[in-house]
Amino acid sequence: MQNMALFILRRIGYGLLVLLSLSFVVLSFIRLIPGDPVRMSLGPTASEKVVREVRSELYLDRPIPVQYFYWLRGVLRHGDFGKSLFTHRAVSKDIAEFLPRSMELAACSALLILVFGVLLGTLSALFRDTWLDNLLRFFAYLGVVTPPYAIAIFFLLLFAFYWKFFPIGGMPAFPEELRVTGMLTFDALIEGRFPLFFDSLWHLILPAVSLSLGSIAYQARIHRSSMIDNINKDYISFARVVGVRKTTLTLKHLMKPSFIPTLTIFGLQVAALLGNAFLIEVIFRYPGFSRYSLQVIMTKDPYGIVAVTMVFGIVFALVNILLDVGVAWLDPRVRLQAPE
Amino acid sequence: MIKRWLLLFIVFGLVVSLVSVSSGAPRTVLRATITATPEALDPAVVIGENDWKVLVNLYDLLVYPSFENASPQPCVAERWEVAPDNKTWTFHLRRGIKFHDGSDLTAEDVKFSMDRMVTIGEGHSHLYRDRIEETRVIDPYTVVFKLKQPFGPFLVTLYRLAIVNRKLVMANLKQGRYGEYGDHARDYLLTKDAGSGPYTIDVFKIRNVVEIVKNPNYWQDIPQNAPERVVMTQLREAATTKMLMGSGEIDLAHGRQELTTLKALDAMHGVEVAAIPEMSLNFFMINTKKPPVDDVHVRKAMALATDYEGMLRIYPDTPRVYGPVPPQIFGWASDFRTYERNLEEARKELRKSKYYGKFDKHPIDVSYIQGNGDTPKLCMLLAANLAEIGLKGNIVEAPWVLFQNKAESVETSPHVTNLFCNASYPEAGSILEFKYASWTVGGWNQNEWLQDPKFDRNIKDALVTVDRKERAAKYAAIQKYVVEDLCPSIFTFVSVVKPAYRADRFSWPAGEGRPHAVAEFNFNMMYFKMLP
Repeated sequence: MQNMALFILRRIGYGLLVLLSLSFVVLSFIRLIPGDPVRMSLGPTASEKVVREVRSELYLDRPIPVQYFYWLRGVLRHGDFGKSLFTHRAVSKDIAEFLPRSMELAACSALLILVFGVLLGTLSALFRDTWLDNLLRFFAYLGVVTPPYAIAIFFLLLFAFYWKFFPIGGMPAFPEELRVTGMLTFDALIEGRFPLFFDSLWHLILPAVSLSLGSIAYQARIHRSSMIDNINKDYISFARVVGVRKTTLTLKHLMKPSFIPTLTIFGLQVAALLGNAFLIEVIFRYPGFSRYSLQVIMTKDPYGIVAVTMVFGIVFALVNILLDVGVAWLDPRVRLQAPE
Repeated sequence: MIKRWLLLFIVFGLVVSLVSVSSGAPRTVLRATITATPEALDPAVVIGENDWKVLVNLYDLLVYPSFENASPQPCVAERWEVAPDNKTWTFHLRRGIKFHDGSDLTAEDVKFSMDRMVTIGEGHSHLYRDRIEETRVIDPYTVVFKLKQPFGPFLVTLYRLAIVNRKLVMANLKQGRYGEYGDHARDYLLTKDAGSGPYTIDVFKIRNVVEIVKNPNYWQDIPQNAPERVVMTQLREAATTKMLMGSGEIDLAHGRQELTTLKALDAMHGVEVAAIPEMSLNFFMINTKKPPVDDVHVRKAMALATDYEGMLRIYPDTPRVYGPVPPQIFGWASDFRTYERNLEEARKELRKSKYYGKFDKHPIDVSYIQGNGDTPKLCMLLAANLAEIGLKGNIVEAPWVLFQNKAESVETSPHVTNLFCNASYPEAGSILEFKYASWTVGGWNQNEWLQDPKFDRNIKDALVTVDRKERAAKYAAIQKYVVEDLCPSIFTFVSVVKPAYRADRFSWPAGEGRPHAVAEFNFNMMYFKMLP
């Protein structure tokens, strides 16, 4: 247990170091890319005096290490990630507004990936080489090769425009008094606003399905292979011979070890969801973080870009830590020989 | 177990259906899309088309541009006069105008708005900052602007001076770089309004949605059938726009759709497309300091080789232009030599060039901005036209960031760049100064790097001329000089925005073929009529 805690602490330490280096490298790169973001933001008619003042306010007129020092000091002292030239307000406010919406979408998609990826993979493995397996494999291939935006437009046309089962994108208005986490569906649920919860969930289904379908297919493929590997192992044959019930055999002895590669891939896919959500957010008019990320990059908004990179970095670092912990939990061999 | 899940699913479906039905919009709500929400609701900061589409609803102006020709009409100012020195403008304000918080709009607010604009130095402040000597309050309903020197278009520049509520601004100051004025309430005005206009802000989510509601205490009569609420959502995605319009979930789609999308929208039942010419032209901006296009004969040859008809096929239903001024604004002139496609003439011009016989050593970069509509097609056509007369055109795509960086120096500015440029106020002087004056080089607006002393002298002279007739004559002379003698750009067509709208839901002047000369003013919602 103590070993495990040390292991986690060490991973967190590494993670922080990576994030610090990442922020410095990104801030330096932004300064090296040609183009004055302040002039871009204020336009050609703004006076040179104002442009100078804003540059100075954002420390863009200082050497890179000095600028980085002030930025880092702001982050550590006040959680201030600087001011966005794109939205003209604190980047932390942008993150607080846009990130929870994407997290909500990503969480919903992650749930779908895990449930359906594992379910379809298991079915495929258990009914290997039957018509069901072939059918599921066909859909898995289709899911992997079809880009999410194509799926999104197809689903919108079919389920929202022609059949009108779902709304054509957008999200219900977020009542300010309701804001707890910034995730509308979740906040509505914990505040007991059930009509809003259902409405929000109804709006979330199509984007979440569009975003997750490719990953579900991929996850199903991985889980199928992993299960088939394990089905052929001696301990499973032994369990069958001694008469272990099929359900117990599948759920307890087969599923758990098969989860190790599934979980590793799942973690990486979840971390990538935030980045991949851009087109889905655009198509569904979803006010999320991916759309914001692209816009700050296009406008060369220095602190916006650093914050976006940091958020993605933090998500990847966290997911990696959770993955390591998850794998260690599933596999005693990893757990027992964890850190020395 | 399965039955229980099925039951739960049916209940869930029913609840959602009920919620959807109960949230159905009444006909008093107008739903629109915009390419981007405003950057802020602060009139001293913003400058863009989307910003002003919203601001014209939230704020009042001293004078309001007429629908017909954008000439100044009384608004907050009932009347005005200019002193014989042509530098002192006195405005007499209407009494009884209330800001959205119920306080009176007075001369103090007008003075404060002008001072604030000049102090902040962003947005449209360039129209005033080197021109206003002082703003004086004579009494609560009389305000005087004293200019440093006469400025002919001063009245029409006031279309960009939105009057803010001084008390509200002062009550919302935060720490900032403006001394005793702190941040000048910039943070507050990012998402809230301090105006007295026909609508007030209700919801503003940056880069997402804007909702405005009718101001019940507006000093002018707002027709009863004007929309009670207007929801403007940021949406550029063509497929989603078509679906939303097709299903009746939006009433008005922004006017910058691609041609195929526009055709699809136009074909929908009940949907029509309005055409709104902007104070903006499409230019091929030629860098007059870079070989071989530093030679006026080469520039003229390019203008003569251009296939204007082909350009208009790429941007159909846009009026052709022959000079640097949009035809719907004051000061436009046409009595000069124009360039029509004539390859023989073009070759003759090339033969006069000092680079004749050496053009293979001087390829011409024809640059366009990434993601700027169908402008790549315009550039491809121009490159093909150049090839017809023996010039080599290289198509170059540049992201906006990179182009802006290149435009900062004459050496890195491309030979030719295609871009739309617009006037800040409806007069020739605005676009002529912005495009060609020596003090505007180094920005994206002037890839030409004209730096011509005669042009500078003439435009300065025109701008200080207060007499309209005399000023118009001076503008005409400048346009003739630019087109015939300098030929720094190839002028193609007027930018026309084409919003698709549900004609069965509402009517508006632009839809009835009466677009406002200043494009953003077409979106003053008090002139919209919701149909029963």
